[in-house]
Amino acid sequence: MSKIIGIDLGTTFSAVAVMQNGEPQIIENKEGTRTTPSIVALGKNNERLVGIIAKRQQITNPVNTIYSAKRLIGRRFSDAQVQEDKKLLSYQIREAGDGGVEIKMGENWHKPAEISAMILAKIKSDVESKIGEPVKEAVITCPAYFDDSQRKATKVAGEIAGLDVKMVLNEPTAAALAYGLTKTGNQQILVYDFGGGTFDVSILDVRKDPDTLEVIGVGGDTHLGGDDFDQKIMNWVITEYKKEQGVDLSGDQLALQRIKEAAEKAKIELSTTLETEINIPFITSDSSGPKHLYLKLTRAKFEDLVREYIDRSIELVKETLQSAKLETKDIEEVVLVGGQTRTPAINLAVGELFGKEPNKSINPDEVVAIGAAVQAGVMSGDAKEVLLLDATPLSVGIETLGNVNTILIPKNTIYPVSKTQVFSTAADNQPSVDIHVLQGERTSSADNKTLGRFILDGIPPSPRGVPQVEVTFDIDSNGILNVSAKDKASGKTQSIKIEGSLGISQEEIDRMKADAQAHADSDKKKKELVEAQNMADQLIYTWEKTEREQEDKIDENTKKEIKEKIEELKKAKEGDDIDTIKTKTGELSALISKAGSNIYSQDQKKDDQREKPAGNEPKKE
Amino acid sequence: MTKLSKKTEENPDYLEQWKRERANFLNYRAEESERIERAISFARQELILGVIEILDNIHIAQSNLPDDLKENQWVVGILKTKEQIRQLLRNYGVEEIETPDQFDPHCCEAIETVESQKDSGSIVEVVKRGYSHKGKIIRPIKVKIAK
Repeated sequence: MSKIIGIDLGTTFSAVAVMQNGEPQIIENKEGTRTTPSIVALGKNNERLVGIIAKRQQITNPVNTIYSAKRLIGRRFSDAQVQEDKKLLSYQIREAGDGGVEIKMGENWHKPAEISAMILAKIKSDVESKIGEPVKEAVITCPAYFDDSQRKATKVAGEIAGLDVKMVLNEPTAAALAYGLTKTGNQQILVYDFGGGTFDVSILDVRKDPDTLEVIGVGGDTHLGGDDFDQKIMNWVITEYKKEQGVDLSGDQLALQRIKEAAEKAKIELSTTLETEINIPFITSDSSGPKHLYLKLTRAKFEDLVREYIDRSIELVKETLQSAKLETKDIEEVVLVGGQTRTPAINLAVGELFGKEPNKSINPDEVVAIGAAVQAGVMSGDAKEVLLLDATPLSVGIETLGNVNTILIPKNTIYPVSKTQVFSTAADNQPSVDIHVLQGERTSSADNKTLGRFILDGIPPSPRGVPQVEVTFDIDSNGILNVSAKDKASGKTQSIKIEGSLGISQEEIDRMKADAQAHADSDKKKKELVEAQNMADQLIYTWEKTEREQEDKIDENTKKEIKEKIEELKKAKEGDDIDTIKTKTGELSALISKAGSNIYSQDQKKDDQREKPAGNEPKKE
Repeated sequence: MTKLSKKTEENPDYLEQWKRERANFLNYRAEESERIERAISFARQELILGVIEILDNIHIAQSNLPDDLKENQWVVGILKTKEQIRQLLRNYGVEEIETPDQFDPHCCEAIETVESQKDSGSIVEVVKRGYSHKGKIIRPIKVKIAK
């Protein structure tokens, strides 16, 4: 059965996803990228260009490069919105015979649905190349505010492209589906979609028994998007440069293009850093020679520049809530969609307004396509519900030498799962091992939660490090943790069953994770200290064993020297200076190495004397 | 036991096994994704080391610039282009290693010992800058140290 694909047909970018191995996966286009610009053009040789290829030549061919066709699809030419957009478009549009819109590309006039069909056809072809099978059916998304005519035109676009459109799905619904929010009971969800060219707010009402999902509020601004943020940075750069150098770059097309790219790059960098450089050498030149542009833009300054847009988006959210007769406390979940939501200031503003963290773990550029694929999967039977699996919220492990938490099953491991690791004893002739089961991320066992403990005894007397104790952690599909320990030599086994270990509250999970993060540096140092101490211990133990076994081959001076070094190391081990412990360990190791060489050379001499035949002639090989 | 009741008894076991296989696959996929990330990072290192070598040459030019060229705007522009390369490297997690006062083999490579007023073992000259990639040293600082 062929797959149904999920397509996010966006104003500026489109994306496609399909269910694979039970999970929605974004499919890259032929050019290798996960999103495709929603642009179509007629090139110089009347060649039709779609996607990134069309975008690359946009500046050279503005009249025949068609973008933002979604703003016109299914609308009447006389619509106020169309008349506004007409002023901003670089290509020609006119009224069609049926009152709709026609777009001129080359010598021909096309309906917006035909332009969108060209984009959908490329997406269809790229997916077929990638998955190696024909694609005949699709779920295509549209804004929640699209009327019947616009939805119908979107469906027609799919049909022209050779797709049987199974559903035209609301974008906010798709986003909610991607996060699985439609399965968690009665609730209201707000989707905050800040894309490249448009800003949309939608409120969804999800009900169980019967299962319904209704859009109960829409709002937004069709001309507010990430491109406006880039423009603000560009304007700032031009103003600052004029102040510094007295040169106005606003009329220099090449300089503007470079500034635009640098502005977008700076905006993206400021999502993860507090400051960035805008460095454009040879930005222009005059009679005195070349000129360079170098400015530092802080995140604070950037947020200042775009504050009015962020504030406007929050006002629009409030208006939408009001018109749906809701308050912020009525919203159970908030979902972020659109690349611009990566801006920390937007995250913060939305979080503060609703008093909760919005859902943003799925790539905001891809979440709508992912949701469309989930819906497509449900329709085709690909999204099987029977295998719902969870992940462990926190790591589980045991305490090992030096009070260290040795993790066996890390956090976010999907269960049911089983992990086994072999451990050994810390002392000679140790008859038992204490299995102390821990939960948490901290390095030191005392800083984690004890889930349980038991003792495995009956270990046959052996030097330390020789016994092999196999410890197995098994979490079954009910989340019950079974920990067992088996001594491989004697076959003796002991175990413990821990119920409810995964049922800890979200609050406690968050507290433990935050704790681990806050102590990450000190925990790392602690772990290094314990490792250095254990290594020192091991070295001392090894030497003491060697000294006992090879006593007659080691001269008194060497023994004395090494003994003194061991005392120094033992003293260093009591402290917490890792460098001193490592240095003393290194010095002791060097002395032991030397002693070892002497032992071997003595053994070699004895062997040589034993092997020499009576005539003192070398033995033939 | 009837065939039906036998099958009914086996079913939960089959479901549990199926879930385990699925969980193993999902965990393997997550681990594989991390392995691929590490492999990509490792592969990138070759390119990064190549770019660093090119930067070395620009540093040599910069440190030997005649005074009368230091304000030349063409030269200034090229040095600003060098800064773009450094920023690009930083974006990929590559940082220059700070030069310590005393020679430290953990981050330095001694290429020569020279006579100097400085204490023995002190770094006298940095011949090539050192770099780390995501905390791991990919090229030590190449230095001359005092005899």
